[in-house]
Amino acid sequence: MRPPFCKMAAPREKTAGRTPGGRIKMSSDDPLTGGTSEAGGSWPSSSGPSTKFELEKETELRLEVEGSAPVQVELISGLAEAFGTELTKNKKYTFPPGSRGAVFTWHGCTVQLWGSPDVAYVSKDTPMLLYLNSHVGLEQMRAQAEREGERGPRVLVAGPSDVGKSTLCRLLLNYAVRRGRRPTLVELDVGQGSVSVPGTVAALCVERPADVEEGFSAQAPLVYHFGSTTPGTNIKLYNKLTSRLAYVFNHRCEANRRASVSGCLINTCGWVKGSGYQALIHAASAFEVDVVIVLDQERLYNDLRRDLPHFVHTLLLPKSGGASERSKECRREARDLRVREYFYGPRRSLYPHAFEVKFSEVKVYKVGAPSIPDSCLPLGMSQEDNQLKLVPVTPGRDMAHHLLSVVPIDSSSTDEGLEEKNVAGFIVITGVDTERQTLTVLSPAPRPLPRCVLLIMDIRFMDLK
Amino acid sequence: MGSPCSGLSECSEWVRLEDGVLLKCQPPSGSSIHPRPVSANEWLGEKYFTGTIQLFYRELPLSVQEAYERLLSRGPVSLLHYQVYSHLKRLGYIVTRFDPRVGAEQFAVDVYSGGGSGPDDEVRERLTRKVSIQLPYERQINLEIPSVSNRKRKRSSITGLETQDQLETSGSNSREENKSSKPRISHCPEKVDSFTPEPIAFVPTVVENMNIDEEARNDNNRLESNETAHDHEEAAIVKSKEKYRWDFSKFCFPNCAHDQPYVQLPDPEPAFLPENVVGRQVNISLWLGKLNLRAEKFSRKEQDQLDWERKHKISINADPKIKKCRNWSEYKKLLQERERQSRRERPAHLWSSTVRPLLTPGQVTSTASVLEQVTIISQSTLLEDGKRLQDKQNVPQIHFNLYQADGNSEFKKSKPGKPYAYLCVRSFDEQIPSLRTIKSLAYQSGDIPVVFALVDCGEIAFYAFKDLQLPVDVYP
Repeated sequence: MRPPFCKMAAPREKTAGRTPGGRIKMSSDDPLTGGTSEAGGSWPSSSGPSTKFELEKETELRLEVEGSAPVQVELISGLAEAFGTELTKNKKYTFPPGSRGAVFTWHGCTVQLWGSPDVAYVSKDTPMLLYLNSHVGLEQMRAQAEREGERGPRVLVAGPSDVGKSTLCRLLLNYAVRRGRRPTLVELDVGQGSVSVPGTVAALCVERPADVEEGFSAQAPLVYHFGSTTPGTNIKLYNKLTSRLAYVFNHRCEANRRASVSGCLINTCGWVKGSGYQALIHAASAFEVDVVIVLDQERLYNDLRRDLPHFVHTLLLPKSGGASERSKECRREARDLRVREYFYGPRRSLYPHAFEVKFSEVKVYKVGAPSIPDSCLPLGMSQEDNQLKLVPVTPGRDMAHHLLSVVPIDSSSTDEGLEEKNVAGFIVITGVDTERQTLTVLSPAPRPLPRCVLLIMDIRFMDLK
Repeated sequence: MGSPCSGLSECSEWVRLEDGVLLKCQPPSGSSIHPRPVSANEWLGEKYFTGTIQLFYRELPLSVQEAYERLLSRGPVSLLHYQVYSHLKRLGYIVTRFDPRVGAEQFAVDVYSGGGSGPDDEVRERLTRKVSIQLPYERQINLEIPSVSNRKRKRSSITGLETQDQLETSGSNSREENKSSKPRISHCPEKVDSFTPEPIAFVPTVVENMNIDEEARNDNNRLESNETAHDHEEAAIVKSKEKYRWDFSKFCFPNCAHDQPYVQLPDPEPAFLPENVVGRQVNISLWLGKLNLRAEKFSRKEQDQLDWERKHKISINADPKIKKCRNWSEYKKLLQERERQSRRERPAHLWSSTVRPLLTPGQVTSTASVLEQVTIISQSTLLEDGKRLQDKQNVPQIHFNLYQADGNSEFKKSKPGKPYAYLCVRSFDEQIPSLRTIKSLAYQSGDIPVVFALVDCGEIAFYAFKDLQLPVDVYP
């Protein structure tokens, strides 16, 4: 990490006369007004690492940090929020490389930017008012639920990848929490989930607005092992886990009135064709959703209108211009970062343990037997049941660098239905010694491993850096 | 053109080839000889063999072996190619090296690429017309495609070529292709039906990859198929409103869908806003044009599936019983009830063991779809998937263009026109071409037949692959 985010940078900005440039690109998604006028003339001619932005009301400063150095944002005056979380005045928020951020203001504000992001521009054209109206609609529903002692709104957010589904969920959750609600985030995106590591589905009770830098605090999330970054690898398991989450959530709603009234927001995968679409319908049915918000894609909206019963209210909302498409590599890096954060903490504040485990001490399973071609099966035999089977895996070299879920078991329980048990944590196998019959694992907790079975994922993590 | 060497200048015309080989034209042929830019080496070899030319190296005639070695050992021509070339040449065909630009209208644009909708239609139609190949579906609907190639190539009895049985076969193949651009209902229906859904007499809603809930739902749709589809919004309004848990007309939700009439959203109630947030009136119409920004990519199969769904799948809310459901639990109960009903009708000895019948009752609606379900090998035509396979490496190339040389041929060197066939030369020792190869070549060649020339120690056999309809049961 580079140190020069000190306050020394501030006076440099005032010593004007430097050539423009740097890595800051300036653009606007509103061709009519043009970029420069929108930035309120605050765009400095200096290329110094500090930039001041005057944001008019209902505008957004969008950042993309891709270089090697992080960018810091500080609210100087006015009121601003990042995806629904209010910014504290005079506090520096750090956006690490590879991250994106947006500072939106309802009232107008001044923001100081430290460092040089790859993209930084002010946009007037945000669908925030529409999103706010959606929040108002949901809040009206919650008010009615409170009055009538009913269940609150359950909302499914669907859309193709990179249209801002997670962001919309975060925004609506934050607004709900700021109104004193206790909504639940249900994370069904196994690729880019925001609650736990990739390859899992999870639910999280949201009790305070998300941290600008770290997201929602995952105090006691409910996490289930899925094992892969796309639902397509085992759609049956995916649907089963969705049902399981819905079942547990219903239980919680029965026990906790406040959670019940606040409802939930379900974030889904960007896979909206074929089985991915069927999984959406299944999730809607499992959670008995009341509102479905479709982002950007009219095709999906029409299909959902057709295939969901009429009492489900389906909305089509535009995507934000800030949600730009990410490349495969970018997604892979983001996944890697999630795993790294799990072990090392968001700011490398945690120190995981590395220790050895004997082959004989662990039981490793994989959910789902490899599929056999249909032609190899007896006529009429279905192989679907294979997808939920637990297949024992013999420890070996090919296990190295795989991520494994630790599922605790008690002495009485059998291995039946293991895939439906919640995960206590994750470990990574960093080394396999076949001669000594030991595995070296990276674990968030010191040895020994709890009494558990391990479920292996397709996801690999190299513990480098 | 080389300058004649001294001492040989009186003979006739001379052409200097590479390596100082001189070419001498034998007096009887008379006319001047220019090695043709296309197929130069084959051409020379052929001329040499028939004695029309002589080859000299340092003023000495080359031996037969040397001549062939020089002509065939290096460069793009192998002995196999030469053998095929000379064989066909002697049979009276015009053979040139394969040049995709010549004559054959290539599949410049993928006719299979999805999206036969909207403004693309015209372009697509033009393209289809140009390549004069019809998709099975187009054949089915008797789309009239005036074939350019029909006018270009007159069909004629092939005089003097009767010996070439194999070629004849491929020739008739190509002729059939041409004919088939005219509607050929009598030949086609079985073929077509087998992989496109029947458009008429279709009872709505079956999708293969539905989960169980869906199936149950579909069962129902089938039962009530006579019901006309209503907009479910409309149905919801007809219902008395207090029955529902939520009355969405009271809640203020923005919706940018085109079927929604509300474009002006009112001021949000401040009571519902989080602190420090101010809302205001907003006009949705600005956002209506900012939808569908993330383009969706579909494979051909997905596109077909979507088109099919758009056409045949009706809203589940068209079902009056579902319309009556007021919430999820009622709806799920209804589905379960239907599921149970359909199960009750099934005998246990068939349905409760692991080995079950391939088809569930109500899963399919017509004989055609039943047969499709129980198919072991799915049908595929030569031109399917061609585009996809094109990207792969190691696809064998087409080697020669073959033209007929009889009176009806319009072959000109400057304007060769459409080849009669494409030749792909292979040794007998090589593997039989894989389906991928065949498909890929068929795709490259468009409507011109590809003929494989298999050379086995100088013996040449010609093979062509043809789309063939396996006999199927006749069904409505």
